[in-house]
Amino acid sequence: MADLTSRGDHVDGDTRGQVLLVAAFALAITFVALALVANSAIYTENLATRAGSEDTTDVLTFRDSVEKAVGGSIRAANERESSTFGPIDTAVQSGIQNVSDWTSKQEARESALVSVEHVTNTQGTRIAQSNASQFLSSNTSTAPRPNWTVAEDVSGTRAFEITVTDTATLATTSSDEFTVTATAMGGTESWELHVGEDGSGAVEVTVERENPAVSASCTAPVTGDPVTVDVTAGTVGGADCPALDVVSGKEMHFGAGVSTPYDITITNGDHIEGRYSLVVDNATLGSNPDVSAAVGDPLTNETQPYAYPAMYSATVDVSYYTDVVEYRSEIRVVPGEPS
Amino acid sequence: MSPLPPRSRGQAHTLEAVVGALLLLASIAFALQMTIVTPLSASTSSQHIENQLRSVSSGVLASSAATGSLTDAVRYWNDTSGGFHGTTALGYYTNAPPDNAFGDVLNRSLDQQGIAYNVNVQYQTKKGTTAETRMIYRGEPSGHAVTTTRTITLHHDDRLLASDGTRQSLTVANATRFFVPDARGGGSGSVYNVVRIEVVAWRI
Repeated sequence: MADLTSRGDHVDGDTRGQVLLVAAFALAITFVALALVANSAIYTENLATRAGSEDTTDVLTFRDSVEKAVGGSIRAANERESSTFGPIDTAVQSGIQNVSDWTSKQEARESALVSVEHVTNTQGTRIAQSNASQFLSSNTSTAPRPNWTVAEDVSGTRAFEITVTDTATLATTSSDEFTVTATAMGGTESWELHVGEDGSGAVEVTVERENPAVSASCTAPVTGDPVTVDVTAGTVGGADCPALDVVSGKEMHFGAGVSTPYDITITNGDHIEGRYSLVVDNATLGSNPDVSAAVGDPLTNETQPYAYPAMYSATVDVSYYTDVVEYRSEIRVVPGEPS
Repeated sequence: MSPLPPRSRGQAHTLEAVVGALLLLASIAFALQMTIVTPLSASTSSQHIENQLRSVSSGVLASSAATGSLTDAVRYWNDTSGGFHGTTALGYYTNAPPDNAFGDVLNRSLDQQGIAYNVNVQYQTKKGTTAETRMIYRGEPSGHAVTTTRTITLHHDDRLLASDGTRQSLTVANATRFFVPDARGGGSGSVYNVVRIEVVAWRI
């Protein structure tokens, strides 16, 4: 090995070549190490910017689509208007089983194991008048009256829709307006919905609640017929109605401020003309004389109220498994329940 | 007087210098080559672009499913011609999105941002397998295409829609040429079929 110290009797160039080589080696190793460090930094930044929440998004998307599927299944089964609850129960349960089988086949393509199981359901009653007429009681035992009881001993109401087919029949003074009242059983607190006309041809909806007392109203955006008031979804004529949702921080949805169970009554039913439908969670309404008990085939042209057995809510067990996520939850599906 | 260096030392020095220079150049070239193209550099395969496409398309599907325009788009079917309303003999849309609310959302969110997309509809067949139909086809996706899906259900009493969006009296169960078959196989469930909408999006 050459002596790196320079001695007087050797020319300096004797040892320079090997110093050059060693320096080149050192620089080469430095450059490669720097390249490695730069690459790691870039890869770290790449990993950090990846959307890591995709897996939880898929879970929530699946849960939402199951909720909509079961809700639609309940609605479709109820609208068959069966006179007994058995066929509705069977239809919903086999519908849920089908949803589970088919979605598990489709989700398996995305390497996810899913299942939907029916746990339990609640029977209720659907009260509807399907042809346009005044909202009078049925004529089974007495002559139709404008002030009558729709349902008693109710703890939950959902999918309450009123369609006004003739705005000219609505009253403009509040004492004559058509009113739906939810009154606590054995108490006095009440929640009232008035449907009237605002004087210029548009449907006006006023909501009053007690304890604390708040009153609010909203008007349909356009005049003309028909106008749909979706009481539980909170829309009038297709536009959002805060009076059916929240006003000044106070809940105004159907039955707000009224302790359950409550009764639902109608007054001034002769000052409105149209159709309506609502589902309550009380399954024993065959004894209400103001509402006819549905018998036989689906009734499509009835101008008096009928009560059909219906499913009020269903509880399903949803599970979603992938290699990074495990999710299992029980969902109570109540389509159209006021939140 | 110092002796002259041996004759062979010059060649050794040259060799060492050349090897040293080559080593240095090679390591610089290697180091530079490693950092030129990364997954985050501005090219069509960027990770940021994929993230953005994924969130835009899943937002489009989520909002359409919430308003009900997704199930309306599946039922926007012309039963006499056996295709979607406004399509040619192919049966799917190629040039413009469909003339319904779902098509409007696709146009605003994707077309106007320079994003091309294919929309496929997957459903269960009577035999129990999964089949797929095209709803919108714009060509072969590029390398960074992103797929997002959404599942909706069809019920036996859902109606087909006319070309202006109104409900017809024909239900999906009674339609003769509707592309989604009745997967119940004679059962009494109220769910007709489960349909999965897949949106494949890529930048052009």
